[in-house]
Amino acid sequence: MTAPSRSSPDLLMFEEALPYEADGSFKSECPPDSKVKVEDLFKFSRTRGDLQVSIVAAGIALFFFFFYWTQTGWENRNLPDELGSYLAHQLGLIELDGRVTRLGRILKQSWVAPMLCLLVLVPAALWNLRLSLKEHKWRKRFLLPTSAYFELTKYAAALEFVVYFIVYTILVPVLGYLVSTLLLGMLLPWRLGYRSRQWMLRSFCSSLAVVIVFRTLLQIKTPISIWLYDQLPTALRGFMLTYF
Amino acid sequence: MKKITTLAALAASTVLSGALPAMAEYPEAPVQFVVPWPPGDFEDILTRMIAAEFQEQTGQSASVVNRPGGGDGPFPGALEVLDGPTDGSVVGSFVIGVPIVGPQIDIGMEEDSFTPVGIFLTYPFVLAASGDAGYSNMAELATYAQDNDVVLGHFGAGLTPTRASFAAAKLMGFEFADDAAFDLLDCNTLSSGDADVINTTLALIEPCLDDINVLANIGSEPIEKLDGVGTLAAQSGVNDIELWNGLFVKKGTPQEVIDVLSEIASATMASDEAQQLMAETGARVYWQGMDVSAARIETDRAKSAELDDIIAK
Amino acid sequence: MDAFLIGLESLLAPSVLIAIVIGSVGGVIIGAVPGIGPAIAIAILLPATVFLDDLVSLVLLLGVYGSSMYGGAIPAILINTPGTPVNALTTYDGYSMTRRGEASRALSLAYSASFFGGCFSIIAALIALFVFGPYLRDLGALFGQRDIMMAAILGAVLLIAAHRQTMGLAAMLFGFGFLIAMVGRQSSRKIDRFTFDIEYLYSGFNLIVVIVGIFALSQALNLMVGKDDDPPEARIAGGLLSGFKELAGKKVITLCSACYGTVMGIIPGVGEFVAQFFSYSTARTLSKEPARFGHGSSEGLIASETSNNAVPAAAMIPLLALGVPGEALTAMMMVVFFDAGIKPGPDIFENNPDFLFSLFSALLIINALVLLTLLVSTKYIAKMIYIPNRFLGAFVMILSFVGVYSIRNSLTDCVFAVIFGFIGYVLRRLDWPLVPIVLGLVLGSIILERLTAGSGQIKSAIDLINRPVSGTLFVVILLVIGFIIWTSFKNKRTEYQN
Repeated sequence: MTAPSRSSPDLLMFEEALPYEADGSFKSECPPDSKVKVEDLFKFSRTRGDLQVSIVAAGIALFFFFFYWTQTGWENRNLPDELGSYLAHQLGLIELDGRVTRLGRILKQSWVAPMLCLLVLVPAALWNLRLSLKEHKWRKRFLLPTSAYFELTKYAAALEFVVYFIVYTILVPVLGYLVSTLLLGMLLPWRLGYRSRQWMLRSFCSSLAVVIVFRTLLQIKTPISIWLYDQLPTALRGFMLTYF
Repeated sequence: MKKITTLAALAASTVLSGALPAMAEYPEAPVQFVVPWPPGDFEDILTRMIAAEFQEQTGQSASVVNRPGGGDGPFPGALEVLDGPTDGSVVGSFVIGVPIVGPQIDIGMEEDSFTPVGIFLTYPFVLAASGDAGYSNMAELATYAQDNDVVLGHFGAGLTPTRASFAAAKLMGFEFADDAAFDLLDCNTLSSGDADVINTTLALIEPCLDDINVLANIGSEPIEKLDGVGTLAAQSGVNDIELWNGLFVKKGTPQEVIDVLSEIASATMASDEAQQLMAETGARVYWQGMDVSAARIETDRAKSAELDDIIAK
Repeated sequence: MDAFLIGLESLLAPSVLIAIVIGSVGGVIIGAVPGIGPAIAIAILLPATVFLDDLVSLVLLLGVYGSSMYGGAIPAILINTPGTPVNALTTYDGYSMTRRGEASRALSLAYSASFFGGCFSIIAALIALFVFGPYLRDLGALFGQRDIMMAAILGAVLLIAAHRQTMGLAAMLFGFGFLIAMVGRQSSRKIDRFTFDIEYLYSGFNLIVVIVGIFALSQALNLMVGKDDDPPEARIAGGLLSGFKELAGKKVITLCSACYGTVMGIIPGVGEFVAQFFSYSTARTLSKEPARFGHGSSEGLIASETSNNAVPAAAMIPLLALGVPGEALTAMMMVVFFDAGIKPGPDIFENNPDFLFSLFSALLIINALVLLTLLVSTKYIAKMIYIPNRFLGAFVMILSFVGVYSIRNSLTDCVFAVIFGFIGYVLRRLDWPLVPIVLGLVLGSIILERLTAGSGQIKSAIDLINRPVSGTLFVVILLVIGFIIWTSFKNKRTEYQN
């Protein structure tokens, strides 16, 4: 950038304030920020899908709030008749005569703890939603991108693997732990793109290692009624059930 | 999801229907003993002994599976056995609460859902108070409780020993000011003042046995280790129902399975290891076969109903 | 004293020694591979440890926990990727040193600093055990149900306070964790919360299922959906012993950081991150060359590595003394304690003193073993950094299944674990903290249980706080809450002034 020509002197008020070097190159007056901010580790800024998930979270909190009244024994509650005066007595304000219900008998009822939890959860969820909405409005105002489409594609991608896991879970009692693990252990890396022979060999060996270490050596429990093993002759069936 | 368990049960039953005639030789497949509690307690130790003996005697692998129900006690584990096959490959190790209280709560269990193989353990439940409490037996407790607050600590209000304690209190004319359910009752509970009287097993208060007062023991016979401590039944007039643990199989399991299990389990209970457990901990280890157990369950059902009546009055 | 000797003796059992070796070497490798960390490894190993002897399983898990931070420094320094989340600060100074060609100097500094930090807190804990142990036995009577409930509430408040910028979020996630803890039915106590009459929910959600889901499976999904990194070749030349000499030259900063780590570890709810933050800031204040921080300052490296290794041993203290875990990893280990029949709490000093000595002595041995291993085999361990992420994710998924199934032999548990995994994945993408959910579950169940058990002696509201310990803790809770409110008002005011 070249220095502006001093064609109209009344525009130039402070000559020393010109940021240009004598040779015309630009030098900023603000030195670069070279301090490492440890605070950056703790920095938190709301990302794109935040509003949607905050809405879902607030929805779940309200769902539990709605069902609190029927699902926690609130209907069977056992509170003293004159709640106002009981509370006042507990706070030390007034004296009650006669038998006063022990606070413990009230606290141990099953609805107390959920009430305490919801007292923390619902306001926090609504507060979080408010902050998220504020951030969202701010972004919209400054025409920053607010579409959560990319996030949704990521969630869908993750759901695919969730489905694989659930299928694996259903397959184990049918095909047995060894076969299902070998299948998952080889299909999953194949799906992820590791398709060379070397990788197939590595997948096979590592899933086999998992089965041997956890099932054969450590004898971790796996389902015992396995359809595939039941098709085998008895002796082999016993062996497979014990060791695989 | 129920679908998965139904799928497994379906798979098991298709196998069964095909293989039933060949059920001559039990056991044919690995056997699982289901203990519906976390590992480490008496019933777990004894069931593991039985499983080890089973494996040795029959050559078929036997393992113990802990299926703790969290807050719901033994019922989830019992339901597992109920969902299992009737070929004797899944055996349950249950407390009295399962056949007696199980049918009363709405979980799909009937009074005859399980056939007892035998009963082998009585837990050494006692009522204890700290050493400097102003009472050392039930009568003194009754007098003390008339003018002072006494708080009872127990393992759950629906549990048999707890109900026995409440019934005893009713019969002796006093009331516990309040009661609380704990997950663990031991010396610390008494010394920290969380409860005045606790309803727990002897092993848990073993370390401080000399410093505390054992008021009564809940069962049909006094415990040898504690001399001078009478049973709750003797001191208060309540019936002598005990908390016991036994082996159960699902209704419909062939008699042959029950016989094999019974033989092995009774041998285990007579072994030195089991008897030593008895001597050390005050638990009673024995073996009552299928018929004796079935009769005992029926009498206990009546006793349990009697306790409920006393408390409800 | 005899307890100490008995404790040492039980360490000499072959299975324990093998567990020490596997734990340390395995832990270093797990830490060194970016993408998996101690949380995942412990989550997966936890169910398997039920079958092992108690000391063996604890030593194994502790080995993984304590040594993963050593290993995590390797990729942090070599390829600017923290191996475990707590090594994030190490990347600043460590990687800058690598870029200058001083990779081995950085590594040896990191190792020696970690070693010093780890040993410092272990020895401090051992001394405390020796000195205060006999007296703590009598203190046992002071800790009843209400006191521990207050300690758990304090832990919860501190946890939320530690998430300074995301307190509302942390509180909400803590609330969800608490809610999960409450689902269940207890027929013998006539309690039925949120089961909607679904049979699976009767026994509630198991802690390990949630942990494996939220930590391990979510990371597996994260790795599989993401891309493989293509880390550049890193060359390590030169000896690795120079670090110790340098460490001796910076005594003040080292000691300071170690103290921060130890103290922060003891306070429940706080953890490695806050410890590092404070020690890094303090080191920068104390240093003669503050401008170099972040650009290859040896003091910065020392500060971060010392403090984060001092935390594990110290974090065991609130777990052992009160039964209240200080952070997520120790919460997982609490499960092992219960399975071993060792009840964490004040009477542990009375009932199992030798166990405590074995534990801390084992930690000491683990630290030494890890250091030796690293001095010898860093080159080979550094090769592990290059395992592709997505393959790793698939592997973690397979391992998670066997872990979850072995808890309660329930296939439904596995399905729920992966559902929690998906939830954890969503949270990771949003940069929301995961720890409050797990600690909500753990601390929530502690609060629940202690409230029920303590309710017997609560006649009126004052009984909640009229015991010495619970009263003090209640005051501390009020002070912390007051502090939080005061600082957030102060921040709001300065915001407007700007």
